[in-house]
Amino acid sequence: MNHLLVALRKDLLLQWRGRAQVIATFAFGAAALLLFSFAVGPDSAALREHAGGFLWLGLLLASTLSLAESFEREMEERALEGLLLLPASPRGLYYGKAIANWANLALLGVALVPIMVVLYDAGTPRLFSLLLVILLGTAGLSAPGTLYAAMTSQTRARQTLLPLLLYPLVVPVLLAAVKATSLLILGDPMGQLRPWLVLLGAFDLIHWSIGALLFARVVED
Amino acid sequence: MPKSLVRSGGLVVLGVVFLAAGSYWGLAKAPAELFMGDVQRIMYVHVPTAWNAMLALTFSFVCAVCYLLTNSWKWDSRLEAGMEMGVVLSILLCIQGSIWAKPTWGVWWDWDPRLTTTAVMVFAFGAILALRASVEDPARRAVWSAVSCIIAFVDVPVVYLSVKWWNSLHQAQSSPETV
Repeated sequence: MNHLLVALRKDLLLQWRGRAQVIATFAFGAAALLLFSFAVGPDSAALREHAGGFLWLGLLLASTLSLAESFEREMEERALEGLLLLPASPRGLYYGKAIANWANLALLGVALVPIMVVLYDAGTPRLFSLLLVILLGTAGLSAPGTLYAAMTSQTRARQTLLPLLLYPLVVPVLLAAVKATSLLILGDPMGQLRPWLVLLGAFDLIHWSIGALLFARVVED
Repeated sequence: MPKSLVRSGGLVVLGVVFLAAGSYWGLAKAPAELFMGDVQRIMYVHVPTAWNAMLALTFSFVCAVCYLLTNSWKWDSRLEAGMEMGVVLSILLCIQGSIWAKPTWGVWWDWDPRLTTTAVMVFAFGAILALRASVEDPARRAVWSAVSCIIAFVDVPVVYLSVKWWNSLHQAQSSPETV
């Protein structure tokens, strides 16, 4: 537990010091949201209907940038090898990194919401539920994303491999988060929000547990 | 001749014999289906493809677990073989499905849970083959592909469930508020 907190503190500090990168990732996500509206055309009804999908696609595209960046830093000056020499458990290192990435992505998601509201006229009065969807969805991106970033950051084709491995895996997150966000924006007369939140929660539970189990094997050698 | 060569040569001969017999049975001996006609004959190859794809990917999942437990190269080679077979068969499955779907459903593709899950599977396991191709160190390659194979395999049922919900939940369903 103590290892986890120290690792988390280290990763949050790294992200704070590299906040220019966080802002650049946000700018990338916002630019993606702007571009999606050009793909659909200035039809405000269609834009509003697909706003949830656009938000999550923008977030997904931006997430690979920040996930990859979080391990790029560990590769500089062989920092990861140094970390593994410390008497810290790999599990603590994994959770520290994954929670820091989660915080980063959740912040990104929250920051992209006003852009979505302005560009697509897609607001919702249920802000607390929207925050819950963003938290559960970004948790689902960060757990497998952190594990795969640890692997791909050490390979040749890392810019291609991380999204290639991660995108098919997070299809359930994308589906559930898009559905839940759209229900919040367009109204939910049938009360369908809950099953999607349960699905997100189950996905998170599975990946946050197997991620920690497998991470030790990924970084050992 | 070495024993292993005899064995694998025998398997190839057996495979060719079965392929010829199955093709004759499916294409000539079996009668045409009453409503779909000859189109239905694709099922004789489509269904076995599906079974074998599942079997190959399940086999590579077992190999991945065994590799992580034993660190024996045998399991890594089996994992690679199983995964290559599984990916090729899943791609064939999608192609055969499209060939069948166009004359019967009128479209090449439908967002049916089984189709969508198969497509996701192709990308998930194909990506692992791409990962294998770009890691030089054999020990790392073995561990990383075993780890990603386990994750992808565990993910498949969740993908199936979510696509199923995605496909059905948008129709009106009863809930305490609507009854």
